[in-house]
Amino acid sequence: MNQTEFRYDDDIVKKFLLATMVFGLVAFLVGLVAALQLAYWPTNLDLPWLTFGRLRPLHTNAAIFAFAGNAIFAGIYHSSQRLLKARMFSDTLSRIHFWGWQLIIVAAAISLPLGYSQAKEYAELEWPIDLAITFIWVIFAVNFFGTIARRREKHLYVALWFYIATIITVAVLHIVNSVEIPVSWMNSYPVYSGIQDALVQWWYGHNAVAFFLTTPFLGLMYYYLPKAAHRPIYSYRLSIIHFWSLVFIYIWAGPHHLLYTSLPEWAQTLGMIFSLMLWAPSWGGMINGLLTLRGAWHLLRTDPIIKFMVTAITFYGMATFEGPLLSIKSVSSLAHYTDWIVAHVHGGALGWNGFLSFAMIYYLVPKLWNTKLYSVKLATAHFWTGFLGILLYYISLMVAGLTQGLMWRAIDSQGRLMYPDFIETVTKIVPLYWGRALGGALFIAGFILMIYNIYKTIKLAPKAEPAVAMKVSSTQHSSGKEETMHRKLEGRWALFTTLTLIAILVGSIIEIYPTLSLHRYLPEKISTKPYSALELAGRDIYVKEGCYVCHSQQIRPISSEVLRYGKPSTIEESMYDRPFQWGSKRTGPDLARVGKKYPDLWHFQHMMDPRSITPGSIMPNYPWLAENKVDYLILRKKLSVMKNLGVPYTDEEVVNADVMAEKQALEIAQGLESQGAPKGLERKEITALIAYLQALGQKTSEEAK
Amino acid sequence: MESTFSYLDQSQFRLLYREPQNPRRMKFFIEGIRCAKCISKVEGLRRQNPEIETLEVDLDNSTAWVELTSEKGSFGGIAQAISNLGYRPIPIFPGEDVTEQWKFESRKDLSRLGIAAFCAGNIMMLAFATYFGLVGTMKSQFEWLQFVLYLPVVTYVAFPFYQGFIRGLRSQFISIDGPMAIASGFGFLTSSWNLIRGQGSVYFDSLSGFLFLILATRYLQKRTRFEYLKFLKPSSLTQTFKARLLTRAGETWVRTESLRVNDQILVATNEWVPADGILLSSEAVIDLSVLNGEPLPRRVQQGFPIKAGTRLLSSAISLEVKRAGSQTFLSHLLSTLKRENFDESDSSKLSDKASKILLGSVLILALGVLISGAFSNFEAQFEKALALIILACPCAMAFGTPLAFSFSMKRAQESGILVKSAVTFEKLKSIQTLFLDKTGTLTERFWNVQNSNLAEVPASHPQVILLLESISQHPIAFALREIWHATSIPSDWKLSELREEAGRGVSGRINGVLWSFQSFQENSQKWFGLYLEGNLVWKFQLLPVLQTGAKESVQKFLNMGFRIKLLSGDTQIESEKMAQQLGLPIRDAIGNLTPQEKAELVKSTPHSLMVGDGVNDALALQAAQVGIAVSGGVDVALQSADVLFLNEGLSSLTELMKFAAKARRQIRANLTSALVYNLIGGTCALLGWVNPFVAALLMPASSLFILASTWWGVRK
Amino acid sequence: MNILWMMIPMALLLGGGFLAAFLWATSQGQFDDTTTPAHRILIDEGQGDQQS
Repeated sequence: MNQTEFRYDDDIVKKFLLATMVFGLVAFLVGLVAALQLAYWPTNLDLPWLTFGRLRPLHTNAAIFAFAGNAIFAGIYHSSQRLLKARMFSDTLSRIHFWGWQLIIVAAAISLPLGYSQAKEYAELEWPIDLAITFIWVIFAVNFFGTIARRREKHLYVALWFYIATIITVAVLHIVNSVEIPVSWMNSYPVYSGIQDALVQWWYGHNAVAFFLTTPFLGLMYYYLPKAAHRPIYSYRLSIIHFWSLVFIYIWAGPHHLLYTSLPEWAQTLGMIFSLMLWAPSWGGMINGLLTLRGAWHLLRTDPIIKFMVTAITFYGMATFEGPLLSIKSVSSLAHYTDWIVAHVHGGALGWNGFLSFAMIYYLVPKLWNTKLYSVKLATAHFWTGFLGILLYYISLMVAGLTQGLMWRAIDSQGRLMYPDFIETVTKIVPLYWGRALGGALFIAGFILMIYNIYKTIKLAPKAEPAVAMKVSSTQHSSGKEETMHRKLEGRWALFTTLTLIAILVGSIIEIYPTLSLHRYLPEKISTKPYSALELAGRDIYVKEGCYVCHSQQIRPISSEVLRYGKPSTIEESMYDRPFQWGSKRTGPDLARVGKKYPDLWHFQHMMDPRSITPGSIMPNYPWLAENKVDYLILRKKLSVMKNLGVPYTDEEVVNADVMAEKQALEIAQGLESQGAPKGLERKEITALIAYLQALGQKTSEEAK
Repeated sequence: MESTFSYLDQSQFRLLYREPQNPRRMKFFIEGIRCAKCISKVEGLRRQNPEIETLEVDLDNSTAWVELTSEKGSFGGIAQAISNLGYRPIPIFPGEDVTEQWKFESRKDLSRLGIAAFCAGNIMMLAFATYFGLVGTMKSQFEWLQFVLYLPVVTYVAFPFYQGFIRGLRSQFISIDGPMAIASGFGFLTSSWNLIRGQGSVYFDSLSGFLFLILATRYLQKRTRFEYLKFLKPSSLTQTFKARLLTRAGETWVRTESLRVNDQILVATNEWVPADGILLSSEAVIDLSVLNGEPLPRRVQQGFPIKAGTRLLSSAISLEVKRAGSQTFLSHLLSTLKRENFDESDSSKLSDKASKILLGSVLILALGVLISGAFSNFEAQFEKALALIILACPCAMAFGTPLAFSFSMKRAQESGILVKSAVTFEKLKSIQTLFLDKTGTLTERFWNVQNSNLAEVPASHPQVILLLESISQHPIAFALREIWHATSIPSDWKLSELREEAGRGVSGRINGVLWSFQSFQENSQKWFGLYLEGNLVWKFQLLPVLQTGAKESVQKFLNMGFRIKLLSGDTQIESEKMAQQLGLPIRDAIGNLTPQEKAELVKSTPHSLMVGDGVNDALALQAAQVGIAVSGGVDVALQSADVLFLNEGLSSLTELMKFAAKARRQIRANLTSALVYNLIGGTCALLGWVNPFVAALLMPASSLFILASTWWGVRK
Repeated sequence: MNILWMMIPMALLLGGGFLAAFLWATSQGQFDDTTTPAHRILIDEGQGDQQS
């Protein structure tokens, strides 16, 4: 009798679905602009908020958190209610979650182009937005676990486990990686510096992919694939094993992003081994997904939803094969910093996340609006354009990456670099950038077909009728007094939340303690000098403009690299770097030792018009750097924060930060002026930036090694 | 109205069959449940029947838990509703529910496995860091962390190994748990000691890794075992655990044990007789095939004794109980069979010679290393000796052997051969004599039409015969009804002037045409004839039918050097006929055997293998070195057997032999490769040719190698 | 590398949390039946989902 009447909250699902499509379009278009900027630099339009360095973070954040995020939420809100046979815990929390998340996205879309960035990949958003994310995420968690507590179905289907892992882990990752000390309303320094920051960041960065782009989508796959194919998952037991092994292994694979860096050898090898171990569960999951269609392969011909899903799962398999492959040290030495990595990421993002989301949308919209899809033909056309787009995208960048990687390492018989000029390796692959932009455009064209198709579907849908009440009976048995006591004790979601909180708290304490007492762990003789006040100001401009997006600051101990850039980077060199700027991509050359390599004027002219120095360069112009003024006063605050974090500034240096910065700026400006640069640069951003660039690689004395 | 399922609501029955902790719950086996639609149909009852609190189907085991909203609710009504949907619900007695027992065991094992995986995984990660070049303070900190993570392993995870070791010592054999228990314990002590004094190696990673792998393998093995036990479904004989007692007030269901001598009970058509008793009704036709292998139904008269475990074919009868519960012939059979449980660690004896050799040689080697140390650096040599013991033994024996077994069991299962326990593979090695039960094993369970004079029998002939025999109580009539159970009689046929002459046959007019069906003797053999208006149109014999391929299989076994004996409860003559058909010497056919005699015969022959199917074979199956039950047999037979063939015929036996040989060969290969590997590795280590990094990688590599080679080695 | 002394306990706690969740799920019998749940999600209960 244990049956109740209730209605599923499908309105919230519709909201998230629409948001997915809106922000999907934004994310893809921004991506397309960024791709065009690489192929044809004038597309940067000399506008600060449209340069590649600022757009790229916007693109990644929009794709991950706005598009994929909203898709995940739509799927979770729809499938969880059905899997748990319960309406969401609280409609208010659902609404707060939805509107809060959209606000965060809008805030990101405004703040990132304005240059408010922490320059840590996929964690660029500044601290007030970080706080908002935490808040909304907790709301989501309470709503989700509350629904689990009120469920009418005893068994937690495997998809729910994937959602649980997502919610818990993303919370921990986000909080740990975002521990920062504010300097002003939209500016902060991370508590970690240098290698510590690098480790935490890539632990986060890797697991953001794992727990934001993999586990939730696997959950969606385990729900929507059987639903769309009308048959149960090939092996439910395998899916359970898939989940648990993935959860336990994934968390440790992060260091593979730091191969050949100054991270200790053992940590690199460990990261590599754990990445290789991921092959097994990932492919287990893929095979499980594909074999579900045993005996239903004909659907692949007729049903666009199945087309999208099968392709998505195949891309998942390819990406999870490629990932561990790339984490093998010898492969990494070639592929790292090249476009191959970008290709790899997009194979996963467009193929796996994108196509699975599209499949879900095509499945859900007709169901939720109680109608039929407007046009199956259009959906099929979407599939083929999208698929072609991904292939073109992937192949172009894969070839570009290999070409450039091979050119970088090419050494002739005399032991000299065959392509000593970096620009040679860039101009060579620019045509391929056009190919990639075309691929992206095709993908977007398909997406627009979908938007039209979905718009028509919704428009032609019958007038909304009140949601039908569910009559659902429970498989949760509640019987006897002991049982109710037991159930109370179970308080599952409470348990989970407590566990998370404890984990986060203990983690934070353990984490803050060593970093606050960093000086105790530093080598006896500190040989690295901290940045001067002006250099720090310049560094913040470097961060703001997103230079790390195209320039690394980490020379690997590989002969070709040492020939090109100088001796390998050491841990000490970046020990005061907040945030670390090791970078992950070399669209331009490495800058770790660029200091004192060129005169100040070279830098000035290069920043104003890169092509006047390097013909063929694809770097944007930065004319506004010679116009915008630097706020010297805030440097006192900045240095004091740094000092509190353990950087050995004297009290005098902190108090006189602005004065000393101005003094150093004046010297540089006068030098520039004497060589023919315009007057009055001493208060301008360009001066600070030049000071920083000239300090790169100059802070550690030779004998320190 | 008295429904078929009203017994479910009788208080005595409910007391026995409900879940002990919760009187509102009862579990049913539901025949016919196959797919998502079935779940939705059966579970959909929740919405229609307000008496149902929960109804949860388990597709894998074809069972469902039913929970009532209140104790006053009716299980009978729900069972009726399920039955109306086209499924057959049978209540499961909690004490015999192997699935629940498995679930309980499985949860325990999974928890242990989870903890082992977590600890081993993290220990391995920390250990790898030290192998990959981590030195200094952080290295020792990492090692201390390993120590902490190993604590739950050495206490909780390894506990079953200590238990097995001690159990083995008590019964004076070295179990396979022995080396593992020693390695885990001593390894822990030595590693901790090394840790405290700050020099020497720690073995937490290898130990926890092995323990996890071995536990996982054992879990797999248990799973396969469960797949076997799952076949003990409450399909037939469990029906004999309840009886319809006739009292003045009417009939009530009672548990068989509570029946007393001289009680009167009722048995309906197709039900199993629950107690030994005397027939009170005038006549009954009973099927004894399960109990003693009789191939034809038998007709019995008032006052005749009927045994529990026979099936009633004719209409309802009443019986006076003479022996009930544990006193019946059936229970006597059953009670001599040991009960199954999961915990029996069956592969724990070091039965194989090769593993004894390995253990011996490793110990001698270790001793040698130790002695050589007496003259130089004792401490270092002690550690090397220990490392040899820790790494060599568990890998090969505790991991390789059960792995080979469980893979083989899994593969056999895929071929329709369920092996209950891995020891069977060992036991199969020395088999010399095969005992084959005649009925149901070599032949079809029932006799069938043979030597027909028509090449193609018109479909109407059986229909005519069935119609003529439709009300007959003659055993032949029941036999024919079994043979042609799929045949239905056209509805427009009208029967008139039906006459049955005792010992002659039946005749009647169907739609005005005169038909008769009679038996006659020809060449001193019994024939049956169908006559149309007095003319013979069809004649045939009813004879046992050999299963397809039986003769070929028997010949193959003879060629392989096995001695084959044919056992039967049937007459000596029938048995000898069968032997001739199979090409066996007549002296190898033995008929007229009681179950006990069969068992005695099998027991007195060393290295014997018995194939059988019925209750009458159960004792013999257990007495044999290897007992094999054939599909379609009775659960009692399955319970006492070691192997179950899901496919008909004897061809599975050849396959089983192949699997066993492969498993044994693989085990020996594993032991050898482990020995060779350890010898070479040990030598290299002693000579200082291998650095710790390589050595650390070699260990998991050798486990992987064993895993892969076993997978390959026991393939079909 | 002292950051590891935050990350290792962090990971162990997180892992430990998942282990606890696993043990809880096992004790609840979540893994007892690994066939039916896969089929059960295909059933659309109630009327709302029935039109397909």
